[in-house]
Amino acid sequence: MTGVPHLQELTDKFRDKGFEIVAVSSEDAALIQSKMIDAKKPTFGVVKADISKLYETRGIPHSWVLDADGKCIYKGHPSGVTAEKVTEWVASLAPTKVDKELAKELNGAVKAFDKGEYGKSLNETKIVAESATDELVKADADYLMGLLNKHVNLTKNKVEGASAAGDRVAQVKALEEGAAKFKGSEIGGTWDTEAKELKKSKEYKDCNSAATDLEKLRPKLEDMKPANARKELEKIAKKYPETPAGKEAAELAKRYN
Amino acid sequence: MYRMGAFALLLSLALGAGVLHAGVEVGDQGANFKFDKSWNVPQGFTELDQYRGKVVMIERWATW
Repeated sequence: MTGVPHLQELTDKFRDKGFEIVAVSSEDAALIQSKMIDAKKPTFGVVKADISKLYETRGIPHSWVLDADGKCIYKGHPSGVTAEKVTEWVASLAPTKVDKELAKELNGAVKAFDKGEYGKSLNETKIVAESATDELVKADADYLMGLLNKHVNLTKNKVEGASAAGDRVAQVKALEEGAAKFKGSEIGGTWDTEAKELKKSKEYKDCNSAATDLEKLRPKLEDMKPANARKELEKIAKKYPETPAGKEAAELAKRYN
Repeated sequence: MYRMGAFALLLSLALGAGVLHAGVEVGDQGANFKFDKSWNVPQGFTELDQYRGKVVMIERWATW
């Protein structure tokens, strides 16, 4: 708990640039409320959850930093998460706020951007870019278009990543999230259509069924006889061989010999 | 015999758990978890996966 000022400082400096803290304790909510929330008044995220098995450590406090794609880029004592490191990490992120004053013609587009309505912002920016005669206004429109493109690429990367992994469920989720952010724009409409089409595909249904079956089976595995556990896992693996959950089931089955 | 089998199973589960849930290391994909309760998180956020697109620092702490 001595590290609260450090976490607060990072939050004050970097939250509006896309850096978030999730301070996790498995203790009683009442204890977290009194000893942390009321006593220290942090503005960063505080969460009650038991993650001791997922995020293993011998000593507390300990921290992990995940990048925009959810990949771990740091593990160690929280004091090692310096302002210099965070500056570097957030540099590549798509900003969530327009960070400078732009021409007043773009007021509507900027307002929409700051609210996360990228579809609306994109449409309005395009109109300004096409109709502007003033070079400065044009340059500002290009700048805003650049910020919007980062968000477009963020969704594209997520969709491609899920597609490459054969994870149609994650792919649909990424498309739907992108469609919601870019609602009303051409690209938003394209993603919405792609999500709907993909949801109808056998591949998506298989991914979904395999994941559902595996999650149903998982908590029961420990109480089953190994031969039965293997049989049930192999059933899923055989029925849905090309899905992430099917592959995981095949891996799990190897343990029950 | 069955008892030995059960022991072997427990052992393999323990070893296996080490492989599957070996904690998150640099280069690994972060593990998702749901929040039992939360304070000061972005509106509507109930699990870690919702932080995709941001850089997120997970800190394990305790009041003691």
